[in-house]
Amino acid sequence: MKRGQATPAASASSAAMATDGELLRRLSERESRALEVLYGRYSSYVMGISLRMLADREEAEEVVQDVFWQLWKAELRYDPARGRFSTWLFSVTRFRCLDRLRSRARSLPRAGLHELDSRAAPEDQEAGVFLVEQQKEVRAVLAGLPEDQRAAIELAFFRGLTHDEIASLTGDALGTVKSRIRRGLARLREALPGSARTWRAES
Amino acid sequence: MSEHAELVEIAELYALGGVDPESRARLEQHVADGCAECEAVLRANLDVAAQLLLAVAPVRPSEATRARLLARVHADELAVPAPGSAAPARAMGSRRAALSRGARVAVAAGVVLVVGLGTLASLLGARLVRERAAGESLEEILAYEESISWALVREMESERDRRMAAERRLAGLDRIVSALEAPLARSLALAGQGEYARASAKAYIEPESGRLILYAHNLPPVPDGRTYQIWVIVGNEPRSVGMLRADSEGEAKYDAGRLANLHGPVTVAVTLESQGGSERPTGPMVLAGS
Repeated sequence: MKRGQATPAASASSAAMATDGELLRRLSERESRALEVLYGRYSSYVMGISLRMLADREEAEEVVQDVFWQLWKAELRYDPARGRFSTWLFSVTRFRCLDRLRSRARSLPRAGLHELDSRAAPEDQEAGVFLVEQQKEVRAVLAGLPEDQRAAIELAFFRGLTHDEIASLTGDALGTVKSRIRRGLARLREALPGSARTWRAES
Repeated sequence: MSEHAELVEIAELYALGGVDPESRARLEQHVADGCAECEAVLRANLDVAAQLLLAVAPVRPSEATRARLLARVHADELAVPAPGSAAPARAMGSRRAALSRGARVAVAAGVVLVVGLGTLASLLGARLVRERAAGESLEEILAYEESISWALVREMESERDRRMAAERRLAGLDRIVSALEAPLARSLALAGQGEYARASAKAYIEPESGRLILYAHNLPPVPDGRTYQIWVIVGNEPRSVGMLRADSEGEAKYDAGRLANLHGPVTVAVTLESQGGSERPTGPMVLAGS
């Protein structure tokens, strides 16, 4: 029997090959190996989003710790009916970062525009290969946006700024900021597959 | 611009953040009142927003972060008794009571937050809540609200951190006390029998506490209507310990909690029985060791 021939090493590597769903089931049974594999698969993405949003390596590492620890403690609960695990995990990461940006806004001066360009250099990733293609596509679409639209979207989405704050930062009128974001969004909806299923842009 | 057109615009912008609280509240009320168009706009844009996160270049976290997380997780895995095992009988009562007060504070803070979210959920209307398909956008909206009440969340989190630190200290103490009190745990290798020769298992027994934990490997899938059953034999009397469920890779762990009387020579065995288990071992022997 094939299964009977599995060695301990083979069973360890098959954990690495398990689907997210299988790993989450094992995680709910408090199997630390499952968390380890999910960490290997997604921590680079969680870190990338956190670093992009917080522009602070130490704080970004804390977010990675928090997110995976809460996953382990079942303080974050993923419902498969709500789409893919990775999408959910990345959204959770963004909300954690927004929390931190808001609390930071109380005590520290707001980060300047120039920080936007301090992007993390791409590093190799351990797994989650299926994300790579999708990632290329989203990046290409974003890169295709006019710079003012991209910057406005970035400030709102990744930096957690309100439209008023963006307007005062860029020196534009509030209405200009809003319409920039809307135009950018309309292009993204058209270009990203599956995003405009239920609704057409109405401009 | 008409009221509705303005709201469609807000619905569009909502997903990316940056909408002021007053406009957000207006939109939420409007969707709660049943505007299907605004709800659809909201959902489509939340979808785009989720995809934007994919554009970010992955960066590997430091090895220290990984090591710290896994150390915490492994300690926690050991500290919390597996389901089914009885609570430790040690005299930790007063400390546990102190802990549960901390836990109650955290729970109370959580209740406040949940009530806040509940209000929003009811605002958004039963329709949105009922529809499974709407779950995603509602979830995102709720999560957004959660992030707005960050002060409350942070308070909860620091309370929870304090509580978890106290629990970890207590669990560590508990383990040291057990190690000092109990004679060393015995381990027992179980060998695969007959056609199950490739299967193997290890049982750990603490004679003093009567705790038994079994880890099995390479178990073939059970045929329909059958189950693996674990037995402990002390003297000549086999006692059923429970059913052993293997995962798709043939790995299984069973924590039998506290069994009485595991002093003296003990045999641990696993047999294949009919579903639901048997009174006495009847099926083929899968694993055995003494």
